[in-house]
Amino acid sequence: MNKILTILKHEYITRVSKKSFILMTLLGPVLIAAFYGGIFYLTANEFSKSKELTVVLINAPTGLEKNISKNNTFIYSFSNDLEKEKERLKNEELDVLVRLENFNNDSVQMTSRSSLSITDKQTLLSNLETAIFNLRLQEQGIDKNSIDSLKPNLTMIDQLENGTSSAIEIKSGLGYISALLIYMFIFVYGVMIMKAVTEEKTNRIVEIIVSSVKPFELMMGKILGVTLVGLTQFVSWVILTGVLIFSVALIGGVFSNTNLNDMNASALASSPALEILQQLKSIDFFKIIVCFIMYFFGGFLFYSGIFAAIGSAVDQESETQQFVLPVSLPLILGLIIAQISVIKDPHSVLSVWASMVPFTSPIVMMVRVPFEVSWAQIGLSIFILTISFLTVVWLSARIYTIGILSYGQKASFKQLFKWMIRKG
Amino acid sequence: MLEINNISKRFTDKVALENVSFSIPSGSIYGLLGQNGAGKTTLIRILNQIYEPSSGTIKFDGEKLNTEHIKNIGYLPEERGLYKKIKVLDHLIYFAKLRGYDTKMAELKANYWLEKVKLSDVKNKRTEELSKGMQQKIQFIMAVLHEPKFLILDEPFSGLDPINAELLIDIIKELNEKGVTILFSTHRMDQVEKLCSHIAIIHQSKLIVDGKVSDIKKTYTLPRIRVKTQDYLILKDNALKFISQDASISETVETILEYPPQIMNYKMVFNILANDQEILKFEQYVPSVSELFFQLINNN
Repeated sequence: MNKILTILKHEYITRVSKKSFILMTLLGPVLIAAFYGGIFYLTANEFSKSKELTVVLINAPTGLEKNISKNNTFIYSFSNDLEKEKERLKNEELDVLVRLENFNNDSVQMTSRSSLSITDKQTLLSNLETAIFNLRLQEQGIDKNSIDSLKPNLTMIDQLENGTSSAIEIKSGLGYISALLIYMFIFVYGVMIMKAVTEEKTNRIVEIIVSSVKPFELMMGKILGVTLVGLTQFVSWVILTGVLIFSVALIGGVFSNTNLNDMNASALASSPALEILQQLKSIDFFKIIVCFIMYFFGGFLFYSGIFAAIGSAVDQESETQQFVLPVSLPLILGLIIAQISVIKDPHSVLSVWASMVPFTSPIVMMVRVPFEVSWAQIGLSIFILTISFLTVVWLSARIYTIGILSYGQKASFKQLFKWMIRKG
Repeated sequence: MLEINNISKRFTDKVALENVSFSIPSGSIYGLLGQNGAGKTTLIRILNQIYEPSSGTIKFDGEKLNTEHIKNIGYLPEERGLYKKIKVLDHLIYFAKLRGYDTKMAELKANYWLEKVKLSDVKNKRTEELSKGMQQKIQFIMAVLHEPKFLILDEPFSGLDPINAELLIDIIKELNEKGVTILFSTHRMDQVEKLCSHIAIIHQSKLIVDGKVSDIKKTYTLPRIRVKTQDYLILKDNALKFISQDASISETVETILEYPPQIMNYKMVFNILANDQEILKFEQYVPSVSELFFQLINNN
């Protein structure tokens, strides 16, 4: 145990004192903020705006012109000379040509110079539908405003039978972000462990180490050391992000007295912020945090054992590539199930099974947890993950013990399996 | 110090050691010899408890070899390696701690040894900044830092210049004088001759000979004389009176001859060779370990 601690400390201190670690820990939140800020800026600005498209409507019914709504994307004009407009389309004088002669049969024909985006196609269709609908109302002598006033505009206040808000969006977001963090952590630091093991093997230092400690102690020391490094970086990021947000808010004057005084009680009560606050109150944060910590460690230890075994089996870092993909596939599958099945129904059969299988449970269960999953289910899933983690570490140590001192053998899954099931 | 009894090691596709037995007496410098792939490294790894033997037992100071003995064993493997980015002193402290020292003691020992091998001035440098010879000496310190009773050195002089090799030989001798038993594996027969009191030769996974160097020389070689005369042809004629026609005699005025001790003695040999000519040199010839090694390997 003392030796595991010595190796753990060595791994931890060596890694956290590296310039690259310090730099990434400090810059991480800034880079993430810059990344999302950049996306937001690009989306909100000129870069993401679609260019204007000139659309000519052929054989449009009389009166449609008045009903077609003006917008920034499409510039509409009308014509009945199909051949001439076709020629213009060819000469790049216009972008889209729509024939409306069969609109009464709910069919229009569109020809464009180049393929339209899905959004543009849908907007164009929607514009035409609205315009034709309004025209028909006019023809029938129905007042459009009367129709509009009959359309309901419902807001659904959803809550659970215990009276709390169901807060579906926030729960989905929370679950998904937690799962994504676990995924990233497993991947980034799992690969780090694999590289560290291969490096020790490549520079041949491992023989001196294993003459002082057991391969299992070396592997565990390494895994736990790197886990702590990852945790340090993660916690630092959370704190730094908090400080960053607080500082920005402070500079922005959100917390200044003036603003609070200006805000009257009713405005505060009906503000979206308060609504979000109400929704947050309904979320069982204790459960989410406990589960996050459990799956964070359980998932990482489960996968890092596999990564360490792979690292020990190869002679060069470049050889690890063939193994990384098959190992990371279940993780990616977990994310896909989380996106498709869990978001649709967190309690579907697939969702439940995927949150029990240890390869996918750290990801899938984390997305499910905010949706009132019973402690019994969580307990069973954690139990399976713990047993699996211990089994994987035991099997990996068997591969590790042989692999770490085997040179010149081409590593393959077959070879790994042989080392795993060997006697003694 | 160490009793190796019927040790065998089988890997999935090959037998690395087969029924190897020999004893390493306390205070000896024991040479472990053999060609590449003979099984030396496997045996060393078994002694270091990196590998478990497939069968057989090892006793260390009368006790069955166990993990407690690790702190009494030092090991310099043939394959060398250091953490490139770590400072020399930190390196040594880490390994001393793995051998059971606390940080303070580890640092004290590291500094003592750095001074002894004349590397104190590089202790705050990263190991990648050191020359190959310096790195070699750091690795040697890693093997002896925890004051082991039993030291295994696998090719300790490879990559060292003559001055540093001599420095290391002196340290090895000094350690041995202080009572450290040393197992020394090398291909450099001159160093075995210089350092080892005992040897064991492993050939194709089997032990072919072990014991005191002087005893092995007596047992496995016929008595030899080195003789020099004025006329090679007379020497050859005379020599053929006691050696077989097939034996090769170098065609020079000085040669080495073996004689059958059952029917002849030193004086009889001299009288035969001195017939019709003057003998310029006549002395007992003791074969080197190198000659012995080749002879035994070829016989097996």
